[in-house]
Amino acid sequence: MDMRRFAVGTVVGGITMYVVGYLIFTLAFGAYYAANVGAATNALREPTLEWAAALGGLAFGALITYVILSAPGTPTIASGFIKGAITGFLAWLSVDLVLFSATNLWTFTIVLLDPVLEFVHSGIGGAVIAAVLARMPSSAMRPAE
Amino acid sequence: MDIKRVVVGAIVGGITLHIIGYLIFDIAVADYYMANRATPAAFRDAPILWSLVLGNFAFATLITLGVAVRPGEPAMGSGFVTGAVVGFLGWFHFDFATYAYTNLWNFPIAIVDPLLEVVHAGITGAVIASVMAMVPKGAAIRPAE
Repeated sequence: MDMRRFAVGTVVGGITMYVVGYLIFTLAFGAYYAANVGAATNALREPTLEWAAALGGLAFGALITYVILSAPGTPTIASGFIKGAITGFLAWLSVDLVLFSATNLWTFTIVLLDPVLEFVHSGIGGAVIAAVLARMPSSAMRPAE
Repeated sequence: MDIKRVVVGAIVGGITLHIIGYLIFDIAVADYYMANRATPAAFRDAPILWSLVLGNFAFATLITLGVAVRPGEPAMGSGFVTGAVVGFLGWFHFDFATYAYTNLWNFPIAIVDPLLEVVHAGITGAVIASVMAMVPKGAAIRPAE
């Protein structure tokens, strides 16, 4: 795997997902999430730790970049959207179900809604990552110096 | 992509994730996780098993797709790497996001959990790749009847 492309995709994906995540989960659906907290009312942090959220976002940017670069062929915006969306949907469906299994953090409505919103969130992240990677020549394709 | 192989991989992977997860998280390091609960009241007395099982199948599907998109025939070694990378990056994201927004766990869990997922998801990826390699490819290579 081309580590330069991996690093650029990770950073671009992390920034994109942080911004899009703020728009979706804080501005658009923040009140809905707040209204669907489960019995564990004291478990939510106030205020949130932005450094931890940003670091976690970089890891997910890295995961989507890894999935995009693992597939053969040049990345496209559409294929990047699909790969990001499926990765986000399955990953968060899993985590939401595991969290619901172990904790009273959210009502079950959030377990159903959250992966669907992640489909959009990670899909946009994947599309942006793919668009940037498509403009970067692979090091294997560079002419010998 | 061969749907039959993906379905078989996801089912075998879900079962493997569940068994290995039980051995790691419920037996080997259960006391450590218990000692690092920051808000014990947020946790259920007994986990909801069906939700945990469904969550494992969702994550196994993600690992299976990661194995399936790689060029070439699935192999145990590359399956382990794919599972380990998906597990580490995915859970790094979830654990840091959870730490950013909730008081569920103390900080050491955000570090330890993704590292344990290297083993958990890595073994699962190796098992998925081994089983996928045993399943004959689908209709595309069958002779015309």
